[in-house]
Amino acid sequence: MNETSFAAWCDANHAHISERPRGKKHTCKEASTALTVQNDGTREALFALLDGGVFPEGDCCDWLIAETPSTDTALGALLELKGKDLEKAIRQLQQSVKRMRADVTSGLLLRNAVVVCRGGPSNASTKWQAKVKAFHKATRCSLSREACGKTIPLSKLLSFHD
Amino acid sequence: MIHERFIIRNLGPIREACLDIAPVTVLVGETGSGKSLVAKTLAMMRHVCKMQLIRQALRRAGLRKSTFRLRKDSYAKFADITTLIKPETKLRYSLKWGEDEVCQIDFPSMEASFGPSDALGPFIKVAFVADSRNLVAAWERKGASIQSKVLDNYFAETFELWEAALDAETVLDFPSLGLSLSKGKDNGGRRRLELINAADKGKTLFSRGASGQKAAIPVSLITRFLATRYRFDEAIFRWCMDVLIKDYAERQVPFTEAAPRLSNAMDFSGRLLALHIEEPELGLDPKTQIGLLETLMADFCRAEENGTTVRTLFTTHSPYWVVALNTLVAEGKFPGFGWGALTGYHLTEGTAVCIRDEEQRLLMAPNLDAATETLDDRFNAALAQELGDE
Repeated sequence: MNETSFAAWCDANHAHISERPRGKKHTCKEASTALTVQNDGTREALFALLDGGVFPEGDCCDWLIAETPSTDTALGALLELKGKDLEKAIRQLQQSVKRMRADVTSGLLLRNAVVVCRGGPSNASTKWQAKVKAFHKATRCSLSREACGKTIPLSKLLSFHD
Repeated sequence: MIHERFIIRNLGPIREACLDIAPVTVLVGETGSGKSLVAKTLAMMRHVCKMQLIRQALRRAGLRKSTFRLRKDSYAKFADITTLIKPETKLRYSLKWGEDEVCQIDFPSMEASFGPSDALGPFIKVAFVADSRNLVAAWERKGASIQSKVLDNYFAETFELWEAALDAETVLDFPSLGLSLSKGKDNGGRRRLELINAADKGKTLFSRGASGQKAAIPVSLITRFLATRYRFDEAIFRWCMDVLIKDYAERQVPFTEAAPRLSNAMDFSGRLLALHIEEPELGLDPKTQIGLLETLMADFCRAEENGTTVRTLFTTHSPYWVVALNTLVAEGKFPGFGWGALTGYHLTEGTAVCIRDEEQRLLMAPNLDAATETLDDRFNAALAQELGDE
């Protein structure tokens, strides 16, 4: 099996990656859904377009948001921007975790998956808790949901939930 | 380990329901689905079981004629189920403890059957909090509304606990509410309660407090008192002695022999604290609901540490309450309150459906989820139309 570091993966896909230094924002958009992320960390942040970018085909989510590669392991989060179909969004995130882990074997730690979606159960519902738990069981990643159009700090995306 | 099972057939809106009671049991369902009915009848059956066990203890003490008689009609009246009882109504409550010790109570026949062992079961204490806001009003008017038909005997028992809890404490903190409670007297010498807001040090009379405070504080005060100060064995012995003294005095028979015999016979195999709280979320914002739940769970754990088996029953319409229970189980914050200690039932179409999802280890509340989902969908549809119209 080929070993691919996160740094090598970034080099190979630099055409689909934008970087933002500390303090700067980046807006991830897909149709009418958007989420803005502000880099409040100490390292540069990268925003890789996965769907139609790094992965031109197959089921995957929209964005990978991560710290830039360095000697330390970079923390990363996956982002799916969806109109209403929460089930499909979660399926795509799950698929993306698998694909990213297959492509990048070292230097990146995926801990969170974020979905921006108007449909599906409310966050304060047991149905949502069941989805979070099933996602965590399948991927060992936390699943969270953000409101469309919101600006969130990068630290929230990359923080450890467990 | 204590196991309780409660079966209801043909009572009010309930056709057939079988509930295995866990340390924490949650009942959800639409208004009128029978949640309160289950809570009330379970409290009644536990009370009957308690009386049967006391009678068994008295029989062991050789005190065959006592005032501890089972009054079926009174129990039904106190539980407010008289009009709901049909000819085919049957309630069965079974309490198992130890290897094969069991006490099974049937209603309305009031028959009790015991296992092969002669061991006494646990002494049961039922505290039933139906509408805790009434507690404050009752406390202020000194029992004026206790005689009301609305308040049943379980509630009256809870009122006494509320009084006892107030006597036991002078200042109490409620971190989940950001309040302290102190008691004192006004200029006329009347007892009064003050709530002190920790943030601005402002004092408000308890009677003028918000409805959420009036509901949450009595509930947490009672549970704390039961968890830390209530002495079950002393209470039951004292109660039995009071009744027997009165009984013997009326019959002009000396009772001096009864006391030591009773003392020896009161060999209960543990203590079971059954606390029923209806809609604990009443008048509380979501954050405070979660705070109250944590406060209650901490007190229940304290009671378990004191050697008391605690059985809590909540009825709720709050999605936050169920979500918070799932979260506390997942966190493992309270020792003894794990997945095995939690169960829930959705009362619907005359039956009780267990809402434990064994695979995800979560309580699922379909009716509460559905309500929020319907609103979400309606809001999103309205939003789409608004955007489309533009």
